Amino acid sequence: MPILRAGPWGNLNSPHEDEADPEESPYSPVNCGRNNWPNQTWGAVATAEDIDIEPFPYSSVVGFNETVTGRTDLGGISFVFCYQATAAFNIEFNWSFSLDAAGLPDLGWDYITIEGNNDSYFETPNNSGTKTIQLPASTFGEFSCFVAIGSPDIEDIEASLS
Amino acid sequence: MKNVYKFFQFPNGSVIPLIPKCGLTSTNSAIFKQLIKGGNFNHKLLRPVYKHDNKPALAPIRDAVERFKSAVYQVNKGDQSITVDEILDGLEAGTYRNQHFQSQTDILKGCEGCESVKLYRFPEDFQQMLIDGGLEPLSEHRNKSTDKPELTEEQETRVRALYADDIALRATLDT
Repeated sequence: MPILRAGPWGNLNSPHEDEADPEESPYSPVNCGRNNWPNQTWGAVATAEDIDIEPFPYSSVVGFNETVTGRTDLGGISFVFCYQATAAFNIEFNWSFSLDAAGLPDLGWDYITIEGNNDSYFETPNNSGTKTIQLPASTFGEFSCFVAIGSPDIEDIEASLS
Repeated sequence: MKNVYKFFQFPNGSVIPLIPKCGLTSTNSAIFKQLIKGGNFNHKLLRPVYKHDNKPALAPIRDAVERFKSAVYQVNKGDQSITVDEILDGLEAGTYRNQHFQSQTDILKGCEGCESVKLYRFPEDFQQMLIDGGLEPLSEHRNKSTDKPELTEEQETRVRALYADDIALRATLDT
């Protein structure tokens, strides 16, 4: 099944957008499944949500195995990317935090494709782990995941995609 | 003290506090489907927030023993391993801290200031809670714990002592 390339950035409402500043843009990179395009490296927009203590740049583009770190009491880290794929593929979402007091972490992911496939997940996770998420083949899909903590104390939190 | 607890936002303007092991995955799924149906999906609308804005709260309340068993299953997923007795010893001594074992009555304190707090039995009245929040009921309960431990009589007695407030609260809904 041939797929007309979208991107280089976009979202479900607008799949053909130019690369943009992740700090300000509502769009994210459009990837070729898990692979690089010939002229575009695989990437996701990572955002430190509500983190105001030692954040990495508020939003930036990261690749596989690029760990995003933060220190926060109420906040988290999210990733979003778009994709085109002729076959289903897996993404691993890895996280770790040092919550050791009253308070709650939360973690979730969701995807939607232009063909109408969609799914979401949510849980209060353990302090570290990996979720493997299978994304379906699609001419255009959008994926997002996040992990966050709510704690009386400042805690370390980190996350990555692989 | 700052409120470290989070709330799902329901489409009709009510909120639900995040109480672990009380149907959070299913609640998320119901909100997700409603947002897609509305045609203007945004990932962030799906995420719980740290404030309730004094909105009416809907809260699922689960049998404390069943919830404890589900939490034991949760913390032993993956490569982690901790026994029921180790957990109980740690909870009684105040040395084991894990969010999945927080009491429901403690988490409900995060609803202070809400316009109202309506309690529902979980899982019996869970679908009604979704309907009251403006969502469609779900055809399946997601992320069900499949390998919960059986407790000895002594362990169950200890759980009942630890969660006496939760048991009393739930009893008010069962009558």
